[in-house]
Amino acid sequence: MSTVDDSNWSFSRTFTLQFQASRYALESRIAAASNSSKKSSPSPEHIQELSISLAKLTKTLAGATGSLPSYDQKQYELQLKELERSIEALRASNVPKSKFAFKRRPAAAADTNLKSPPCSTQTPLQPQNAPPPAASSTHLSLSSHSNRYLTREDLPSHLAQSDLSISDLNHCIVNLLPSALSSSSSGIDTPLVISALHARKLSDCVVLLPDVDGSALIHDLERCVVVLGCHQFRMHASSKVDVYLSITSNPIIEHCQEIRFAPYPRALASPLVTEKQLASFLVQDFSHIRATPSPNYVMNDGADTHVCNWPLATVSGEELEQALVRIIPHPSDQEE
Amino acid sequence: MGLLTIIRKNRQKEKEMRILFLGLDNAGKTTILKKLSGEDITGISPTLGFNIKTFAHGNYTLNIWDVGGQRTLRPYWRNYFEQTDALVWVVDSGDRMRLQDCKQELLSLLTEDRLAGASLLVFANKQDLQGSMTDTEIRDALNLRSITTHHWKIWPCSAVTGENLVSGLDWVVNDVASRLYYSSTTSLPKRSLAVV
Repeated sequence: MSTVDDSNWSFSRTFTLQFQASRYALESRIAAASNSSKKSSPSPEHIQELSISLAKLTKTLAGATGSLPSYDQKQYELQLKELERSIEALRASNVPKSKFAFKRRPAAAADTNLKSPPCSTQTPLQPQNAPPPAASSTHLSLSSHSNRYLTREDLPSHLAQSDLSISDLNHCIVNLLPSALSSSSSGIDTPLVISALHARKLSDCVVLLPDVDGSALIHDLERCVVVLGCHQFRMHASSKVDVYLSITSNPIIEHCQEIRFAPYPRALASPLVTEKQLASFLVQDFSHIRATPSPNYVMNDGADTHVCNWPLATVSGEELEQALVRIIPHPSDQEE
Repeated sequence: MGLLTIIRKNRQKEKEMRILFLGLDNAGKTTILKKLSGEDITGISPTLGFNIKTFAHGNYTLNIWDVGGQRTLRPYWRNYFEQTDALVWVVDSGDRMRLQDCKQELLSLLTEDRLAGASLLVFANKQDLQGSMTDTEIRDALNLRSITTHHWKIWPCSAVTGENLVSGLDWVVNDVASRLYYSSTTSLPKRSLAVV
């Protein structure tokens, strides 16, 4: 072994000892700071001190370049990077905490979730961002009516945007189209924006809806006509329903029979609706996942031939019944 | 210390987790996944079959299986249980009418042997909708507090706005990591802090 190597070796040994000692010292100071930061955040000066020590250490290591075995050198660099990262984390945890730990906590609870401990279990901290109770009452619903013509005026007072649920109706016409189109004299000018639709248990009904800004989920319809636009359409356990749809994805049916699909009627579409939105779509029947065509629905690309006279005006009694009889699909229609 | 750090780091690179996304139809499972991976979320059709997404999250590679939730597809869920590290149960917070259905399906999953020990994250999705139920309402309706067999947490989120999706995923990944990969859980919180 030559003398040069010898001196290098002894340098590397002393360097390693010193370097590791100062690294451990720094590491424990960082650990102490981050531990105490749970109680009180470390002062920026303290963090600054830590990063100065780290900078010094980095400099010593850089100075020793060439005199250290390259493997060791790499190791030390990695260790320093790790330290740098912990200081960075300390700094990051320091800044937001002092800012909103107390003041903004109720509003920013969602943000504080980010820091939730990894193994909190059966009794998780509930984020405190529960909206005021009023929020749940803004939920729109039309329920339990028969032989009625229902418009926006029959909805409970509501915000301009809401999700809508329609349930338990029979022999009803529901018309929630913008008032410019429907001749019903509803005095409400702001267009109703429906963000999702849930419909359940309707029989012998006509439902006229504008574009729903979300998905439509429909269960248990019988002898109905549904007109709507939506992002997604799912219909379950329904039979004898005519669906006039404006949609950009594939509508699906499941456990359904005698369903007829057609594009959204031009006569009811708002001027904003483009041709593209009235384009035809591909129906998927989840009860018939085969190569053969599903027997449960038919597609009517020929557009709105079934109905040309939509019941846009409020009617009642005898007239309502006549309108329903005229529009609603009958078993005999299906044979055609 | 030095060598051990290196070894751990190398091991972390290979860490994978298998996460199963389930829930009733219309819950928003696919939309959440597409949002998380930065894809377009308009024009998503109801899932016929399943989707797989693989992406890196922190030090982990997540293999996420998203299986369609239509009633006819639910019997097939069990084909995906094997090797599942975490179950993400997605709930449509606007769907009051099917909460019972939702609860039943979830409870029956939790009795599955092959899902024993998997972490459970419940995403109370669609919080952007006016009038959607809060996470507390859903927690009570699904009776989540009675769950003792799984680590669980409910997280309000919105697939449309992206709110809380990453933080929810952080929780579930950390929870799995603390179980599977000893002493390697420190890296994720740092990352999420940086996001704040």
